[in-house]
Amino acid sequence: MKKYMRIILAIVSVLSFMSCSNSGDSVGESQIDTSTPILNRLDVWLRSNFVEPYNIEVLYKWDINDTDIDRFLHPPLQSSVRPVAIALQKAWVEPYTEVGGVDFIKNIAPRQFTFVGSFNFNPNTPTITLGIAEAGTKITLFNIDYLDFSDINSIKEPLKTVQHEYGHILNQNIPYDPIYNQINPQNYNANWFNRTDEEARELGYITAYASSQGSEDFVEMVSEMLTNSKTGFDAIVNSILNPESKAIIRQKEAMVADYYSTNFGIDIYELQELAYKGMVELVK
Amino acid sequence: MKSMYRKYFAISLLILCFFSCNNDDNQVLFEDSPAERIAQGNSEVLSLLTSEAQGYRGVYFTKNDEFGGFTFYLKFNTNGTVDMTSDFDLETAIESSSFEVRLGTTTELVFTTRNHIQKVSDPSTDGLIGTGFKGTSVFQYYGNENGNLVFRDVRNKNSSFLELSPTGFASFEAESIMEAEASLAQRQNILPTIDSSVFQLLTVQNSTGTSNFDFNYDALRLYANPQITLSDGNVVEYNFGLNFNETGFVVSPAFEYEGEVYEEFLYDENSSSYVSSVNGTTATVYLSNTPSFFKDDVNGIGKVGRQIFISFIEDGVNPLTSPGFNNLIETMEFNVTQTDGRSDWVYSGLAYFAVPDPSGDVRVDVFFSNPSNPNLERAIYLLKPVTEDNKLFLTFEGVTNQLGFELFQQLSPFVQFWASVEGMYYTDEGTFSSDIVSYPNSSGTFTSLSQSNLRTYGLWLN
Repeated sequence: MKKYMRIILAIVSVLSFMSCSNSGDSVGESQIDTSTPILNRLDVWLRSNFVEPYNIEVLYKWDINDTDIDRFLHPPLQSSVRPVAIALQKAWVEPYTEVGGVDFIKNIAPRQFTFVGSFNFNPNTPTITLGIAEAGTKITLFNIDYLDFSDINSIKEPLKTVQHEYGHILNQNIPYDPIYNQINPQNYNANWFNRTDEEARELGYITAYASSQGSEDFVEMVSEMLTNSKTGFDAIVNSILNPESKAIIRQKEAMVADYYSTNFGIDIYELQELAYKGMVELVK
Repeated sequence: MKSMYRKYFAISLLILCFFSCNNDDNQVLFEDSPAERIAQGNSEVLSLLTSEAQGYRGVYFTKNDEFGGFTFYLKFNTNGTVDMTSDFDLETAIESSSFEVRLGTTTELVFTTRNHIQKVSDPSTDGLIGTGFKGTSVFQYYGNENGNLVFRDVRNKNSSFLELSPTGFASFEAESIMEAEASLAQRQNILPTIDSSVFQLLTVQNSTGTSNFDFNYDALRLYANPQITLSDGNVVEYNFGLNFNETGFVVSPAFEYEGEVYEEFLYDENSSSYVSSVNGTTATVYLSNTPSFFKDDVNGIGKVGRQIFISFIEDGVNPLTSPGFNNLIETMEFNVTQTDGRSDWVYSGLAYFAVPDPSGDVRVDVFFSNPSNPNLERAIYLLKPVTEDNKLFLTFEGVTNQLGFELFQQLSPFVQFWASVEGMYYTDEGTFSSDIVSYPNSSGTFTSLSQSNLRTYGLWLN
């Protein structure tokens, strides 16, 4: 009897283990669609000029999650995309590459640009948002369908945004000297839009938006310096009537130049010349 | 004892063995994996879209509790492009852009680059700054209803829909533009002209009789707010958006009144009206010489807050000033500039002083700018007011200043407007707004009942 019991036990044990074995198919090919989407000529051009050399993706095809779902916005005309992308190359990528080295933009750059065709109106204020930078990785540019490439002032707007947002990204990598925020903090105001640029300059801020807070003040200085020629920038500063405010702007200019020189080995005036030259070349 | 444990152990193991072999998941609910079914869903919609060689006619209401709708004509191509035109505006040329069918919250149709359909989500739209018509570029697929593909906007899923139906065209390129332009023409037919009355009514005729509504059509939003004043004085109102087509318009939500549902209105050129016929009843949108009901707002005139009424060009444009009245202004201005020394005068505005003077007269002034005079020139006319049956009757009494005498003949259309034999109809219109400003002042309209094409909109100074 004992013998039979042992045999039965042995058989049952074997069956028990076998019944737990995985008899299903082995893991097969992924069922997620990873095929290359339809690429038009513009997509191919963007891949060759931004993705491959700099690992920067330029998104222009609408995805509701790329922008604020509560805003009423629309994608750009396909024909608007390439001129703006070229503007980024000429007035931002190439000048930085020339003065900072071939890897400068590769190392420190937003990984994604999103182009939006429409204006982005801010609810309850008489303002529009020209661009947004998110966590140093993404810049969204609005109203690209409304740029006039025969007018340098029109082209300057998105480039100001890019230089402004890129200034933030540089600051996120290497913070600027906090003493900058203490130069003239008394007139920083959340209702900055009630001031004109001229009024803000008389208070020692380069633009109205610069008078909102220290970090914006710093990158507005960067943005104004890199979207004007030196002569043009000096003319803006020299137009300030209040000598004290004029001196404050010059002090801020010196701190910005020092920030670029000390931290990145970049002569901002050389960068300024190249960026402005690139911008002028864009005007048709 | 040991033997007993062994037996129990053997039996337990046997039971475990049999249960482990029990197949309890043999029910095959789906043949394919979730990823495959999602891809299949997208593929089906893409296939439906691209299978129509002559494209789809798309009726799109962005938000039918605020706006009317527009018609888009869309031909989806297998290379990911879509050719499109629409009746949104006069730019009806077919444009090409890209689209995708992808998984979002469900299968979605996304118009990925700008084309006609993004005109409804353009926040730069005049009069609708910041929002446009609150449209979208992303549409959730809700199903195929008898060959019509229904999509919705997740933001306004209860008030928005895009319904695509096959065009049945022989030539998409030619016929889509023709249809869009015919639809635009219908949109013009509903608007007041220089000669047409400003009183646009919706009248329902059924077995219980006739019911008259003030149609209250907002041409910017393509939206109507019909109101009927009941015999007890209570006002009942309805709301719907209009989507024009080559034969008239459809409304959404449908207009339901006394058991019938009116949705499609056909344009009758002979009577310049839009008619919806349902089960022997009719709903007609047409122009009348009188409003559906005479409101008693006129009784407030002359009291505090309704003492001086002005309407000046510098305060901007509001569609409540009728094309006929604008034409009257042009006529007056032309007449005045034909007189000696006034060739450069420009009409500025008008004022109605509603508080009677000791003689019981009120006055109307008309103003012109004269480049030679820093002050506005004004002609003044006196009128005797009587209010009766919710109408204001003004009888011409005379002229009180030199300019009024000199320009009496040239400004007679203005005087005739106020001295309407059939009376004037006055309505309160809330606070003042125009295309350029908004003021907290009360506003109102005066309409001549003798010439119902003449209506002026303005504000009360005090």
